[in-house]
Amino acid sequence: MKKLVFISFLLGGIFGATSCEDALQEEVFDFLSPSALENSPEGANFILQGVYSTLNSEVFQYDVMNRFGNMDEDHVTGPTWILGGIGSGNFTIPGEAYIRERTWGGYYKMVHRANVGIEAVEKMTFDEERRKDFMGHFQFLKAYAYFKLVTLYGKIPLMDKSLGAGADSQQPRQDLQKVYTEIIDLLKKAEGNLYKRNNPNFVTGRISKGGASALLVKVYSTIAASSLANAQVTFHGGPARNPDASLKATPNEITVTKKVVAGYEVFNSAEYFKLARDKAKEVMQGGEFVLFPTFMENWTVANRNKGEHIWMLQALTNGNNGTASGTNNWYLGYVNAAGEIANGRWVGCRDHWYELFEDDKDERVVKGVMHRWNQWGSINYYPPKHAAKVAAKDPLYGYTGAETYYADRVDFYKAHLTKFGAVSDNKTDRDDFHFPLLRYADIVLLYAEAENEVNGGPNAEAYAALNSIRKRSKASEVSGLNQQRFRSFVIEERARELALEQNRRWDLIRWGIYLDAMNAIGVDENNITKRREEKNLLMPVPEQEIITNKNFGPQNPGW
Amino acid sequence: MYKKFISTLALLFGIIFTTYSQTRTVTGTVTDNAGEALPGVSVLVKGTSSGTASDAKGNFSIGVPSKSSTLVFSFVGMVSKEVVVGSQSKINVTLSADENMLEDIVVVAYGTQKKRDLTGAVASVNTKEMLQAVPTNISQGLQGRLAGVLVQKNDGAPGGGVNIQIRGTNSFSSNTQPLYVIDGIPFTSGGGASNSIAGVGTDASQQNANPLNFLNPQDIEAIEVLKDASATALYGSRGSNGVVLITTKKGSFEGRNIVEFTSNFSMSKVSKTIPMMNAYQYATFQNEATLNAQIYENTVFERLPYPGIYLSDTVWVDPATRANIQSINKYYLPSPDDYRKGITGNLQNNIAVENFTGTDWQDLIFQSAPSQDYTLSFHGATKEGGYSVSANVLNQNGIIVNSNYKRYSMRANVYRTFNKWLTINTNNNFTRGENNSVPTSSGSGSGSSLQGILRTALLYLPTTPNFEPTTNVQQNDQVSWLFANPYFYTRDLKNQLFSNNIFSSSYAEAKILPSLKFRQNVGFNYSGNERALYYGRLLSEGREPRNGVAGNNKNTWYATTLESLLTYDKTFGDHSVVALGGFTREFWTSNYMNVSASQFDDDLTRDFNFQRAKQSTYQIQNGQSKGGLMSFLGRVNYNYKSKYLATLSYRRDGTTAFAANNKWANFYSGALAWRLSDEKFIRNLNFFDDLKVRLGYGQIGNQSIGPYTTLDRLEPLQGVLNGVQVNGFVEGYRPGNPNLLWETTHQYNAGLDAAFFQNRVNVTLDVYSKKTVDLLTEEQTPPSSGFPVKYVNAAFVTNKGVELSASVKVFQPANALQWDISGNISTNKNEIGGLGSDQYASNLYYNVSRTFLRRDGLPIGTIIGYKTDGFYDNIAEVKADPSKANLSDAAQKELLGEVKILNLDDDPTQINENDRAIIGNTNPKFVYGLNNSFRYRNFTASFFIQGVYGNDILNANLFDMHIGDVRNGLEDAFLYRWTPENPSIAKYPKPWNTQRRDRRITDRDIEDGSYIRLKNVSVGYTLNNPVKGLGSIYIYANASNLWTLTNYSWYDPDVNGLGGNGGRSGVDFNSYPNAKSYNVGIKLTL
Repeated sequence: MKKLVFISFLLGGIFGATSCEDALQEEVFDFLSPSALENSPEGANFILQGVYSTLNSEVFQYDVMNRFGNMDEDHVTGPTWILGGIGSGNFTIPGEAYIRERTWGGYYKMVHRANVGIEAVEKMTFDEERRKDFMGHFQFLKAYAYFKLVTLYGKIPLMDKSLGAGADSQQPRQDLQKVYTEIIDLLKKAEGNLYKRNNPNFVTGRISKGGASALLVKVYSTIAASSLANAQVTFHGGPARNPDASLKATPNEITVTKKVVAGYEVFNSAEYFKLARDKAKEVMQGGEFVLFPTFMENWTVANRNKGEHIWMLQALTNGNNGTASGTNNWYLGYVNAAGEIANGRWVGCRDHWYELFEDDKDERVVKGVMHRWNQWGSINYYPPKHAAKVAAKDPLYGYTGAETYYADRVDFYKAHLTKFGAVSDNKTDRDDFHFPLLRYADIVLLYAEAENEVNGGPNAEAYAALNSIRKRSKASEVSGLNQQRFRSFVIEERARELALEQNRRWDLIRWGIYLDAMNAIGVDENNITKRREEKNLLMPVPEQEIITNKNFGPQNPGW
Repeated sequence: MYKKFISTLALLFGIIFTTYSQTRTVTGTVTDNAGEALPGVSVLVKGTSSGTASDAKGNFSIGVPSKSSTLVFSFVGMVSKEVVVGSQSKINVTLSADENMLEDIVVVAYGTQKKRDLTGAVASVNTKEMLQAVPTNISQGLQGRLAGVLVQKNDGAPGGGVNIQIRGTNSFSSNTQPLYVIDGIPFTSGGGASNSIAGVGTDASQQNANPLNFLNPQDIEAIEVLKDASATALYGSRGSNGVVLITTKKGSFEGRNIVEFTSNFSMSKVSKTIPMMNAYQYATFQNEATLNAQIYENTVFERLPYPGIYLSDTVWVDPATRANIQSINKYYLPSPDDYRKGITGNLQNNIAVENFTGTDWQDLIFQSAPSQDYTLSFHGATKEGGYSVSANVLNQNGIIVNSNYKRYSMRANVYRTFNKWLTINTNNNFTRGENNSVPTSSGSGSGSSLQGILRTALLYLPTTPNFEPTTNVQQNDQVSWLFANPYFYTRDLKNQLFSNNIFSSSYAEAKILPSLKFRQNVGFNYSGNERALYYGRLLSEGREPRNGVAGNNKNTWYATTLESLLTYDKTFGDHSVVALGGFTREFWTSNYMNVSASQFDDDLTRDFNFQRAKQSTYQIQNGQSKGGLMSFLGRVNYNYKSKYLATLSYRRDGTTAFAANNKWANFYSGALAWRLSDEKFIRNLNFFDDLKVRLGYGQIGNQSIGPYTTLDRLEPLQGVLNGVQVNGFVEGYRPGNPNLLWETTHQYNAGLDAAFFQNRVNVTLDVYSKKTVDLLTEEQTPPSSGFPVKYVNAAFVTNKGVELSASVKVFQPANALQWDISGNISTNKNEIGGLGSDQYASNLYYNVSRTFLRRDGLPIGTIIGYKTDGFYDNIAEVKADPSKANLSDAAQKELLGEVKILNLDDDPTQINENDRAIIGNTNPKFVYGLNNSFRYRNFTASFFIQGVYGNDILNANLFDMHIGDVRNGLEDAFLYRWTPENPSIAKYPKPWNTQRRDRRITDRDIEDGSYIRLKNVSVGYTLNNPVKGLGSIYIYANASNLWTLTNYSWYDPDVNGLGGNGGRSGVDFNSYPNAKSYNVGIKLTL
């Protein structure tokens, strides 16, 4: 009997352990299923914020976009360990694979996530005006990603919907006309959907209707300048050193005939300059954005996401790698309690860039460049030609006479831009610098540029726009230039105004003068190789795309 | 040892033979040759099922039907004896040991079986031989012992991981490891706690701890490795990588309580160091590299790095305190020659030196490492039950300073039989592991982050004097973007892993009928891991502005196993049948939490007081996952006179890991065996003592994907909006795929077991062919789709191989000198198919991708890269190369003295990925092991040789050492550098301080990984009854890794830096080096 009881007890173990199929249901604890998203503005906002944050977590994290956007141009310099890869034209070195992957893959993640957002919001049923605004954001962000991709890589695949909505992952590259048609279409839709800045529902830090228009100006300007034929551009540059290897004090003036950018031959340049001009004018008359009275007001924590700043990268001090950046560290260095630079201050503008300004006058160098800094136990100064001003304790720069200059240290021979000091805490290397993604000054200068091309020379509006940028920095107003001179002056003004804001490479490429400007330098004063070849005009597409995408076709030429 | 275990089993089985139809009773005693009583001997009336077993004193009593009855006395490990009863009423029998029958019964899936009756490929480890080498963990001890079992170290760190692969790689996934079953309970583990800290650019390194560390090898009674499908099929969805069955010691029936004490002391040291440039060579090289940068690249320098001049500096500031330390007027920048003569004076950064000739950083991080290992065990048994209790303390020091592993473990195995029909058994083990590790292998990291001690010890400047990390961190900063001072890291970094493991396996077994048993197994497996990390302010990760970074990462794993098994075992005349049916459930829960903080006032309280952190905005990360498995299983073994044998088995598995349509899968197998030696025509040959052929086929599976892989997921992504932290949601790294299903392996096995020369020679030969289909693959997808990867079932892989193992007893059993030889050799051919287009395994490491190729017709482990052909010796050679002809003159000049990469595709004008070729295969052609053991009276001696042949190693260290900047290089890179004057001796490119060097994975980074190793040599002596009360003393000495024959240039050819990932095996990147060790020890038996 005892045996029976015991055995049935043991056999009970079978049934105790047996439960129905439910036992094999996979129980989820720490993430959400896409279908669990709420049908509400809050639900849509979660997805939208995800797309915005993708910019931080994929494209800007680990200084990725800093390298693609700022290192491959004529005015930047720094140590070889930063500029030895992309900064020296080596776009395929293994050490920077993550930069290529994060740029291409990151922007496409934005596209994919924007598609998911569009598909989700289409199914949602809350207030229509708010839904349209969400759509506008997704359309803008998708267009922005495409625009960055097309300017870096040339022909690109278009993803009209998400994989979840049935998209084929094997998309062919589309020619530029098709890509730009899509970008322009998206931006026009976004313009129609987005709130203006003055709408009470507008969320500060995000894009507005005027922002979509501003990006459209940049898109038109890219097509217009790239396709312009038979035009000349004058710039200042050339070798960093004299034949005797001593540093060359001033750049040469060089005039070249611009090239038509490959693939843009099909566009009618004049038509797009006109579109750019009109759209820029619309932005300027739209009243959403205003120039700050002075240049330096752009670079305060209080003025973020306001006024002239159409769109900025959002960031958080001491956040994680995605939400904080090392921008201040890269360009200015972070300081310790004593105000001494503890680390960083690696990348700056070349001395020949500094020479593009009127000395002692233009606030973009008087205040925009760091002249005195405390590092390695001494107060140092820049530029070296200020030796007499230091001795004279020039109050304009705050010199005390005690500043030193080390001629043998290349670290000293570059201009560090104070704009990057617009952080809430400069004692950390994970700062909240809000990188300007779209700045109104950029649009104003593009307006001047387009007006000059549309009218066969600068008219009063073109001068007014150009001088509005110069006046507030106390630079001399310009007048009396012919079309070629005005064109060249605006390109250079953009280099002065928008230095290290990831515009210079774009300007060099779309104006077809990238190879001329870079090869005129050869090797710069810090041994950064500026020599470039045809292949450098387009970035190499990450190999994974070419291998896994059957419809993609060959790599960009030369890579 | 085996005897004890077997006698226990025999006792259990003995109970089955109940008696009936008694006519008269015969009693007697069974003893061994020495006159000792033999308990548990089975006494059977021949031709019937009636029988009994001898008791503790060897006495038995049995009823026999008639005078003509014959009693069969059998005991595992002894030669059976038959006695005709006649008129005797008392029969005393002496059994003698059968040396060849020691391993008669083996543990198989969900049960035990006579080795004679096996139909599948099952290999038993000679635990006695294995334990002679005193391994600190089981997996290491297995190396070279079994045919078809490839054991590779991940690295040589104390407590480090081991990769075991049975019969080739079956899978692209990370799961190519066998299933471990300990005392019947499948062992699962959640992996250790992460070693990354949020906010410190540290990547989780590939270094992993061995999950089997918690088992004290001294507690192991037996290890069986199930290799073919018919043997593993009962483990269904987890059987395809093979199964390792581990049985721990039970109390053995020896009539008394036994106390054993084992003590082992060992001393280890690094078996080899890498010849790097010394300070003089390095300084010369750097000067040349700077000059060459001017010659070939037009870069300008102010002065040579080693100019031999005095310089003035201003004030040196202590970066920690910001105080001005001292004003130096002059310091000396030495010239290369100064390092030969010895430098006395002030160097840069206010470092005073005396007669300084350079620093050998390898010297500073390696140490002679003593280790101690103690086990105390108590065991004993009576007819009703037995016990085995043991305690173990291991303190193993690593050959790198500050790395060590401590283990404290306690085991209690107890069984008891009630009422003759019910047995309960419980085996419980508790282990505490404390692992101090230094980061050796590393994924990557930008800047100085965790580049690994070994890497920095090799690459750090030999011209830099060493100093204590308590002062002067400026020096550390100079090259900190590239790597960190190895001395600092070995002394000042805290990275401790604490693991608490509880493994419990219990059962109750009831005999319902004489031939029907029911058994309920219950298993618990808990592992809690905690990693404590601290980077002080002297290390670049912890310096200002972070001022110390502390991390505490926890991970727990809890698994429960319930198994209900019904066994029917009956012999009908010449037919015998064993049938098994069962139902099992397994479920597990895993949790992790990682916490970090920074900004400490000082380094004094390290990670012990997070409240002192002034800044704690780092994320707390945590998560939980759960999963389970539900199965039905059945097996029938049938044999006719042990001559014709058949096995059929079936398992149906259901898992949480797959979506609704694919939750369940069926796995079938069958095997036949034929004992030829029982056939007349073989017996007549009078040669074979045993000859058996086996044939089997079966399906087994692999569900090697993580939980939740089939699901789409939205994960939170931290973001910011207008200065406020806001979180969004984005899709995960890859899309879910609800169509995923099990990998299935179809395996054929044919085997031959033979014994001849009076059982003195035993040979086992197995041939197998496996095809694994529906491989679970993380397939790379176009990044333009928004996801870089997707999980799919794709392609198949085949493994075909031959395994041979043999053992020879050179002398007759009666001989005083005994010499046993056992050896094994195996070969496996792996081939991918059905893939269509090329795929690649995931990145080799950070930024080095597409190195391991997956292509139809090639094995998993194929390396693709560029082929090279010496150097460009002159400008004409550069211009003649079509891929370089269109470059500018300046760019062509740069290429002088650089490695020439061969253009292999149709386009001669450029070198790109199309020019790559297959440059290596990490699969060995064959693997072998050979053990020789000798016994003469009380002396024992053995040596064990083990090796692999024909595999390539991707020596990523060579790739990393690209001598284009300040990092140090191999001495050969100096001695055989390219110079325009003497290009013919060049083995390495010109010294060139540049960022422009074209660096690719080439055939220069591939090395032959073949080796033969004298793995172990040992001698021992046993003293019996040396003093009263002491049973015996065994004293031994042995040496491990004494000698290795290899052409491999790095620390150790036995390396597998990327762990258990079958797709990327055979990579050496900063792996912890191999150690030579010498052991002495003693074993006391009371």
